[in-house]
Amino acid sequence: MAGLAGITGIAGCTGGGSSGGSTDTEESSDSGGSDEPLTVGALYALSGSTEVIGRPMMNSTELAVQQINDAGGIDGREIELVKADTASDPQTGIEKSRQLINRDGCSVVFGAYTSAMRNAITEIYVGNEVPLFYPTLYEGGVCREIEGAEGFSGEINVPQESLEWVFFNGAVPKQQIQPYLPWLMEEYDVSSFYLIGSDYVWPHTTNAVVDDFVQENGGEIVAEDYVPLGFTDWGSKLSDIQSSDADAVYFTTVGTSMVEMLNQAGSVGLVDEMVWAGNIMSEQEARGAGDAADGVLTSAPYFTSLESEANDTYISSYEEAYGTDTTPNFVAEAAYWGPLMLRDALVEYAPGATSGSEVKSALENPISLDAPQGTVEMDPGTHHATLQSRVGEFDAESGTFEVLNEFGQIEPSGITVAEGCLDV
Amino acid sequence: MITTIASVVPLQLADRVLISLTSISGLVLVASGLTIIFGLMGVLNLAHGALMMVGAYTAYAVQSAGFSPWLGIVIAPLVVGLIGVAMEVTLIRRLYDRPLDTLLATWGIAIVLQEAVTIAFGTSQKSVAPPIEGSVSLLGVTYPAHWAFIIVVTIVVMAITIGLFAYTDIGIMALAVIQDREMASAVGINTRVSDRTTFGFGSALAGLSGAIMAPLLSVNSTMGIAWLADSFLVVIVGGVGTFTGTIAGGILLGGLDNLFRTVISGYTSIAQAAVLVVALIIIRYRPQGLIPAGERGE
Repeated sequence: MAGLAGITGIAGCTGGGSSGGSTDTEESSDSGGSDEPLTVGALYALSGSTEVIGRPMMNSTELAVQQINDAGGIDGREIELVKADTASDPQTGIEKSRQLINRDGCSVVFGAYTSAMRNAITEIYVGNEVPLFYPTLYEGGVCREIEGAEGFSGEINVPQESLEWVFFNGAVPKQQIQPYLPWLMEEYDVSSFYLIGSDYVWPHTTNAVVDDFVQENGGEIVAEDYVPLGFTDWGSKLSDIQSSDADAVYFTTVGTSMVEMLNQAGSVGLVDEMVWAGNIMSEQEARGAGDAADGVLTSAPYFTSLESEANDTYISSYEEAYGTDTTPNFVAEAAYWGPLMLRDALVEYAPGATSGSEVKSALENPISLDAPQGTVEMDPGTHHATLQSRVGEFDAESGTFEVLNEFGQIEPSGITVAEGCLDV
Repeated sequence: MITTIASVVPLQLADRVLISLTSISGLVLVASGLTIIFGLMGVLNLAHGALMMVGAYTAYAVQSAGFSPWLGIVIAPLVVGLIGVAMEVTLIRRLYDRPLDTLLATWGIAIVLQEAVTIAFGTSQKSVAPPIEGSVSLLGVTYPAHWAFIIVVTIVVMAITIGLFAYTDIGIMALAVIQDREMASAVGINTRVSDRTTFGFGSALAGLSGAIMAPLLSVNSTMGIAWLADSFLVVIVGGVGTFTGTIAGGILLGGLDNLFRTVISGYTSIAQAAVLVVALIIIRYRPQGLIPAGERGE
């Protein structure tokens, strides 16, 4: 359990003592390799439409790297972080990826937000054989064998991507929905759902999974409805939702459009009238909607309000370094523990790694880590992570989620990620 | 699975009409400042959305300092009006004859305002409370008081603005300056002051609209961009240079948007695209807009 030892080292370090980080020093000199710093890239949106989420992600990755270096690096090897701004634009993301790899010599890059960005930059990493750590929740889709996956009877058409060089540590729909929907239907006594989402791949895939679990549990989908990204004027749509007589609204709308939906739904009293649940709202959007989001439910691997030593370390060191202008959330948390997992993988399997392929081989091990959300594990067969799953209810007064139920660890494979599909 | 034809019962009809009126009012209110600055003065103001955004942030700042939301609605137009005057004095004044440069300059101002707000308030979205909570009973429908308030404010603002330009000395002098700067100057009107006041007033309206609409929106530094596009569309389709044109543009675009979205309720993207097609057809056959400006002064 190198992971556990590692994080204790960090917690100990910031707390005053130190133990974990230096225990493996012997191994590093034995295994040869480089003592030079390891160059690592961080590629997030520091400007443009997704800046609001890109900043806490960048801060979190930077914070993790600082903590690793303060605790002795990778067996004494320092991590050198090179930061780059995607400007929320896939074309810029491609250029910055090339710079990070070819000019700065990064052996691994943490970054990207949105599937559009990831799809645009993936080939750069495949072509240059450099691993990309992708911390955002997404629709899944490593392999095509999705039809008939266990616990899922529908068919989802996901793009086959060349993903051997990508490591995913954000949630796929199964991890958020499989335990959540049956719980929601029972706990809140809801059986009919109005699905409302933004019109792009993630909400469509998520709703296909939601649809399946609702029907399997004897529920009914009253409508599956999509609005364009950036949709603002919700009045008529809320009337549609109200007159549908559904028990619950399951929303997969994103960004400002989601905030405006909740603001306006709160205004017409619809948030109190029906159950509102989803799995994309984080602290950021919920605070943007304020009182209107009070009582809205969401499923996520992580909430800022969790009480654990690892989370206290994360939140307190984050606020100390970056203040409270930006808010960590479940995506930022994944951007935080990605580097910690890299450190643990390298310390255990390749302390002197310099090339992208050495880093990749090290990451392709069952590495377990005590992250702020709880125990997480990388699954070598799919490059996806086993994550925690829990449901939270937003409390407008404190601006945080109250955890209503813990579903424990959920594996990524099944439904949109076929088991062992990268093993070949 | 989706009901394509919504069953319209009378109560629902009243509800839909009210919702459409709020949509239309929002469009007209936000566009009203642009009617003055672009429609009357001819300044291609790409900072219009950013001015509206600053209005929303002013409302937020006032509320978060612990004051009443009403104070925010009063202060927002003052703050944004002053920003408008400062814009006019430093940049716009030098660019009245250079429309393309105005485009660049005002877009530059928009970026400066966005970044300034980000520095001052951070990147997180802000939540703004409405001045009136609760609901009212209108046409037999229980309707959010703030949504009704938006309709009332828009009617009042448009009435005052139309009255100002039609019946007051300041308004008539402003129109004279816009119509023929040299002649106005020759008869003793201070054109500098007049331009400054007109531009400031248009900006103040943008600020007011931001403060009024903020509770329904996601308040962030880029929120104005979508409203900038909508405002230009409303002004151009309605008829550049007339307040009645802007109202007509708002009624047409906001009304059709809600009508199409109600009739084909499962296909929001198609409904919104259809509205744009109608707008294009109107501009093709009525390039001066629905209610073109008359040949004033003749």
